[in-house]
Amino acid sequence: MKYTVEQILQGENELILRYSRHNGEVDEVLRFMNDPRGKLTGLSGGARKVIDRGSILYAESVDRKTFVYTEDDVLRVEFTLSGLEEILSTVNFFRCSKSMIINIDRISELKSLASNRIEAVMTSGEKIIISRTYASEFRRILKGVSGDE
Amino acid sequence: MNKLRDFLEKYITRKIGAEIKCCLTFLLILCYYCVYRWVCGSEGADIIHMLEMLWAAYILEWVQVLVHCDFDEVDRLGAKELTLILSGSVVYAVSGHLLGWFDGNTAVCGGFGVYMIVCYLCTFWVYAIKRSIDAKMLNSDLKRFKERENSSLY
Repeated sequence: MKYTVEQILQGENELILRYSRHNGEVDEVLRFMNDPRGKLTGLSGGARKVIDRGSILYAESVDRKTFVYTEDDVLRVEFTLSGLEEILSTVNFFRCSKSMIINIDRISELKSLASNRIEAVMTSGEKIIISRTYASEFRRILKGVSGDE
Repeated sequence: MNKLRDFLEKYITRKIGAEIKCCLTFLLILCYYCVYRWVCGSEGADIIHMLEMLWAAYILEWVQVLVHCDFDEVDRLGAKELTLILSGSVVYAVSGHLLGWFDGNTAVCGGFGVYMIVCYLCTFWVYAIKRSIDAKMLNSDLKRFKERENSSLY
């Protein structure tokens, strides 16, 4: 990857990443750009925004694009859902279906549904279904039982 | 391959669910039949009748599952669910009458139909209570999880 450093006379410090193919190298730079102390950058309405990871309610993959939802915004991030899951692995995020990750800290209430599914009511009032396949693992995480036990 | 696996998982899950309902329904029908036989002074049960009851439960429960998979596990009993309960109970009562389970006694068959309605309603309530208890435990675990995570930050 070639890089260019340019000093400007005025304006904010800005880091721009241009890529034609999303690969491991790009992922590494993106990880650096996203402050490991708890920030995430993404696009919202054409503008780049920085959000606190703790404010994320859930992330969803739609048509190979990953969107992150907060109480009052939706950001499109450059990561795949799996890539985002890796970045968020130190926080309380759980893969609740094939295309969704939820922030357990932002769940206000849980409801038991038919067929062993669980409904998570988020702090925004949105309801997310944790499918049967993932419900058992979710229960284990809540009880504090590791996957190895 | 993943689609085939998903299809098989869904099919097996539905099949197991339906067959558990079939077994439960058969047990309930047998219970009424045995009480009837005992009240009539008999200590034996007709094995052909029991086979008929088993097949009736199997066919009707599968039909109900195919029409509305978890109709006895819904949050509220709507028109569709009540229709399924009533129609199922009527079919069992008519089957009992036609197949001679209760010696052609119309009143007992009518009582059997009412009994099946009560059984369906009790099943619904038991599932509702189970979900309510499960929800309480889930929310308690959620609260403890958040407390654990918050205390680990300090």
